[in-house]
Amino acid sequence: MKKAALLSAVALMLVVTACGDKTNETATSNNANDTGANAPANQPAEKADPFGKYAETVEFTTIVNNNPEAAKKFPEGESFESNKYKTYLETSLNVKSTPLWEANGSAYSNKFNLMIASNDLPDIFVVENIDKTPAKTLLKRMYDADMLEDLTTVYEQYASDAIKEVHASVDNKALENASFEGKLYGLPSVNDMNNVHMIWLRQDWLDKLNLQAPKTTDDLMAIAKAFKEQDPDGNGKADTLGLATQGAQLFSSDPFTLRGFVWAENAYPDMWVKDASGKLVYGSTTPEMKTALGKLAQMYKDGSIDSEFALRDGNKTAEFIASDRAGMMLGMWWNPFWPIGGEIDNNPKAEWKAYPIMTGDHVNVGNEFYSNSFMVVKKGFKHPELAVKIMNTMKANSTKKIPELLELETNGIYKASDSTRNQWGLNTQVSPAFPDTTARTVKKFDQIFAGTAKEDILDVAEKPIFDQVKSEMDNPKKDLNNYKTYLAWMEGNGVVSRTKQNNIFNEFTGITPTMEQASTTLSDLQTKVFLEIIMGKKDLSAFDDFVTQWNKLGGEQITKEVNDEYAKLQ
Amino acid sequence: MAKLWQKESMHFHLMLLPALALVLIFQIYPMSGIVLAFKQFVPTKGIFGSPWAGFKHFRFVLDNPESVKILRNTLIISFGKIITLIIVPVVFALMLNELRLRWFKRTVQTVVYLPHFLSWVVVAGILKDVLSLEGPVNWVLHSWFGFEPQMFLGSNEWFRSIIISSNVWKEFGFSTIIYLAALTNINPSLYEAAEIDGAGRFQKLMHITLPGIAMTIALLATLSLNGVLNAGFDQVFNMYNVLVMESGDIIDTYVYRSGLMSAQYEMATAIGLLNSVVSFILVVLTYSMAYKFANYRIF
Repeated sequence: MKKAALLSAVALMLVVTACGDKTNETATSNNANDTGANAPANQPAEKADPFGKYAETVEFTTIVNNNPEAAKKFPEGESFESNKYKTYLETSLNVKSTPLWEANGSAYSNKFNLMIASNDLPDIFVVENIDKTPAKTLLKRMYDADMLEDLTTVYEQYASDAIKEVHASVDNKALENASFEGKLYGLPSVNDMNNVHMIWLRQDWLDKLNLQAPKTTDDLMAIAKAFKEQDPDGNGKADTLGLATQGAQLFSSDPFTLRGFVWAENAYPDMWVKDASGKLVYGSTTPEMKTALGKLAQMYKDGSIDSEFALRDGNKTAEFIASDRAGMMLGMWWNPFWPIGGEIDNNPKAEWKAYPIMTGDHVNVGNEFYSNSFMVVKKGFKHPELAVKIMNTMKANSTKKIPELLELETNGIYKASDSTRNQWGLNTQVSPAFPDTTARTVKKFDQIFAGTAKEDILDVAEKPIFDQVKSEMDNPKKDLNNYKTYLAWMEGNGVVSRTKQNNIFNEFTGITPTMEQASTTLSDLQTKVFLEIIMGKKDLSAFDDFVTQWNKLGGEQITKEVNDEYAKLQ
Repeated sequence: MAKLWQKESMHFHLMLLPALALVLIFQIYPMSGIVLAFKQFVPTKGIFGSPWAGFKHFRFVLDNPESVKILRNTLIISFGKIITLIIVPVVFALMLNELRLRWFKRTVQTVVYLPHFLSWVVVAGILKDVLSLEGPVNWVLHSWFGFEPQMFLGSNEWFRSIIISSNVWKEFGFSTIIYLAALTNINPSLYEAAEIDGAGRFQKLMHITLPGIAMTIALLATLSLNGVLNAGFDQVFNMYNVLVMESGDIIDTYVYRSGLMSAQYEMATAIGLLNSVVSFILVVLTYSMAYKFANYRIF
């Protein structure tokens, strides 16, 4: 029965294509491909158009993560529900998107989890990390429950060259990551690998105390101690902090956490990494972690870490930076915009600089996989290729290849507004980028400033950034926004592009049965013991007890399950 | 039984129907979700289609070494709250009752019950600042009495006391009103008779006022006991942190972390169900105790 249906579909396809006259070709070939999308890959399918417009309006439902901060940045009269990006997408493809629901923050997470639990998926949507649950886990959960459409064929047929080029640049690993049993179930993003955690510090303080620029964690410790004790702001009061840090989320990806510090010690907490024998071990339990904790405990003892850091979160810690009380933090390239931006507005005299924390000749970087979000299609939705087309459009816009939208962004209503807002009426953007996108840009800037290249090597997206950087270099601190952009790109991204990176990946992002049950207990235990060791409430030897206890409370079983699953994936 | 269906009372029963329907739809029907605690949940199959898991989730909860700690914390915190919220308002109401200045009495009454209307998010924010190492409490303790600064909200020794005392501060004014209302119900002729017999202020308090509101105390105590396993999610969630998990992690916060944040709905339901069963037993016990000692019955 199935075979007969397939045959007739193929026959129909041939007839339709054969009959189509010249003027009607685009429309008919799209129709043919709609049928062809469900046929096996080895069928001689018509060349699919990655940006092809549907003959009849295709309606689909989705969900929107309506971040209120982003909403403020919409130009007047526009919103998540109605904006020029969404309109462009809808008219250029002849589609209509309807959000099933909109939410933000924890409400979004809860609704998202409930949506999966109640099997009430929209047609096309984006899966992101939800709280502590990685996107990959959610993807697997939906795959296991048979809720997702197989996208293998439509990806092959419809993905634009730009997207395929990006995936090829990471050896299609991101695609493999979104595949189960050889079939693709989500269109993965590919992230820019600029996840380097670096030291941001007040260069003017450093110079005042006659200290050398930091290279290693030991230098960092010495500077933090000096910043605490030697009155770097010169006001005669002992009111400065060493390293501004927060303990509420010790190793999360937020600024102010201690990630960069422990990575530099070759410790990768909360990640599954390979040990010498090639087996996966939990990074929080390795001997390197113990060494790193020992150093942090020393810093706490020296008073270089705020004594109440365990009770603080990022916002509270940012106040220390903004109020001129702290001159050093660990963070990422974009930190000049936040939290350092607040301090720059407050005290424009402050001179900030970024330094990598070196381990030998390189900087260690821990990464989740190449991708942390996937665009997926609900099982049974008639036009799975639409998801690919949407991604093609997002990708084209991210490299400024869509003239209508580019016009809006350079001369039109989007000129002054921020590009981080949700633009397409989906919950987020998924457009694969080269893993070294920003580094490529900074290298171009460096060449231009060195006189080895002309400004015409810049693309449309890079030009405005370059202009800001250049006007900052010509007129230092005339416009503080230019200063922040300069810091982020030339200092922050400069560290990313000029330092040799040793990228370590989390080798297992799934979830195992024991993990499901024990993860809360284990992560509570870990944070508690680590904080107690750092704060000197427990001796460093408590780390060994922690490892024993961690194994006993389910960690050993989890490690076994993880290795079994990992072996299966190989 | 026959009387129930007598013609003249029939319309009363009919009037009850809408309310009954509401209870059925919104109270009884959702209870069927409890079945989730015994299932291995598969989203596509729904709660009722998912395979049975037996007592697996309950076994995990009971085997989990965390459970003992969480239960202990819950009981200590919530008993602490119940006891303090009986003693403090009663004493305060008795003291207010002795006051003769009416305007002063009114003002005090209003002032002490104002905090009841603040949300825990706000109160927790204030407490965090007030109790921090550089906050006023530590400053006073250090500079006036020479104590070493304490990290109150990061210390297991202090955390529960802070939870209980801040709860009293926020809520006692509200309960006080109920006791003051009960006090107005006492027959003034009793006081006059006692005065003629030569009773002093304290004797009047002990022999007339206290017995007069004993019923109300018993009622409020009984009512509060049904929430004995409910130590106050809002408050603890806004004030706790990893350092005080040992003394501050209660059932509700644990269910929130493991259930909602890690999406383990079956486990969360199982804990919730255990919670309700224990609460039910406690309510029955305390009710019979109230009957026995205070001769008090609700129905």
